[in-house]
Amino acid sequence: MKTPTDHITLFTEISVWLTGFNEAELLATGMLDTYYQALQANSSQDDFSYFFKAVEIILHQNRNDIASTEKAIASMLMPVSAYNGIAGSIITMWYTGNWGNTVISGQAYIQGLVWDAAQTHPPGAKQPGFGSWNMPPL
Amino acid sequence: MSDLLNKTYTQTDTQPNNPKRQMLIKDLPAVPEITLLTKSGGIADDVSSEPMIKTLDDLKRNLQIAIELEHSTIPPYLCALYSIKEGTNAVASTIIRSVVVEEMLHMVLAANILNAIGGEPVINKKDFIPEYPGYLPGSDKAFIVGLEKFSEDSVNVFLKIEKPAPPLPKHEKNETGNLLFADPGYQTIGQFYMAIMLGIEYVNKHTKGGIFTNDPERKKRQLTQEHYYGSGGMIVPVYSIENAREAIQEIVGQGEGIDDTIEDSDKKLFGQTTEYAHYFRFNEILQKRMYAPTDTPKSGPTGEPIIVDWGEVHNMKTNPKLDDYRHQPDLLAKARAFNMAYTQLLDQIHMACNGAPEQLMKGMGLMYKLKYLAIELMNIPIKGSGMMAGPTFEFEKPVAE
Repeated sequence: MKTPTDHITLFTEISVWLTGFNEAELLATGMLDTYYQALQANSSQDDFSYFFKAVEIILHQNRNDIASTEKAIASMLMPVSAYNGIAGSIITMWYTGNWGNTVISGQAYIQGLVWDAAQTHPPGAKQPGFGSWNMPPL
Repeated sequence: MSDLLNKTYTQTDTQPNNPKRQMLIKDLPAVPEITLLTKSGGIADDVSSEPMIKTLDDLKRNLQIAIELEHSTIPPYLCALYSIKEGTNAVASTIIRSVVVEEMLHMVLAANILNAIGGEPVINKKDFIPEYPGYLPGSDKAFIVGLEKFSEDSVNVFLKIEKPAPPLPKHEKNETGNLLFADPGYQTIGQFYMAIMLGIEYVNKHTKGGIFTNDPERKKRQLTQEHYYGSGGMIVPVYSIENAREAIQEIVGQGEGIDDTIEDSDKKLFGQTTEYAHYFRFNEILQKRMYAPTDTPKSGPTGEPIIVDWGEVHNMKTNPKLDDYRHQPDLLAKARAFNMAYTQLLDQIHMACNGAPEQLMKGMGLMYKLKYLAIELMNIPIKGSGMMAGPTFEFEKPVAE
């Protein structure tokens, strides 16, 4: 039986593969625990534990081999039918702060990776400074 | 003239140009060899009554120190502010933020005065940034200031910054060097500014045509209200000695370095409309209570309780250095990104204070960026330490592409 700590570590590792952001960038959002809990709360117990079992095997078997890890993730985790689409939901969660169509929290909206990816900021939440739209980037 | 100044700066409880603001600077220390004041209220021409600062070069050097001093308090205050977890410690956050904004204003005001007398503020140099942990620039080395999370310890240091302990009074007659705290024994930041003001009066009087520039090109170096926003007092462009007095009043009036006897005072200094000196604002956090209108410094705050939760704080490592992150390249990259943005901000402020005031606005965006980068760092654990990373405030120029 895996402890929650092991699962959080696996969740962090697989999130790096799924999102394309590195571990420091994901941790920097301050959302890791919240998202892990959201994942747990929104998945059936079976999906949840089988998903992490698969993640552990994929990361272990393909250690240090980027191409084969990506291939294994694509074939084993990404299909919508696999574990009720958990992998896709994790990507949506990190990028938008939503689980499905529901915002996880106000902070989740602000910390969505989509803003960084698009090199912009969450409107109304992270101000870039009055009138800054008027100035070219430094 | 000096007598009038001393009166203006010390004999009232509030600032002359703003009755809402506390005025708590006591007289300059009595120095036996050199009397600053004459009975008739003017500066006598004999040597014994010369002020400590009596040359234009000394004035410029001390104003540069003033700029560095104002800046040196900002990284410690920001670390405490940003370590507070989102949505907690609301009053404490507001208090620290209000002080930081005023320190920024003071930095710019000191630069305005320096520009007005023909000086050139230097802000974008490596040694502009103090070493943390370390002493305040030019201080009497009575206490160490560092980059720390919000805690009882760090707020206690903030109280010391705003109310330094008195050093031993000593003075060499020919001492005209770096005046803050050390020889000749200025006890507080407020007294340091008084010494500067007396120096300005003296040098201006003894310089033909005065020291304030009339060159229209140089006058354009002043930062004015249109270049600055975000509350925290008034920016004062300095074109004359009257403006310089006003600028220094603005600085000391916001409670820079109140004197060490203030805790024993029975004066009623508080009330809803009063803008407390920084020392009292920080003391409210520590005592977890607001001051009530009937309170005195001696009584301490007895008003509404403030919720202060020392636990709702990112557990930032004290005085982090880039070297602490050497085993975590992704974290190191983020910390360096912070330092580059910080260095870039110093560049912007430097340009703004050296002939391109409009550059200050561009700095605003960087200030927000720094905030978000700092908080991001505080969410990242330093592996094996049980502590979180934090901004290191080290000078780092981006590598040219």
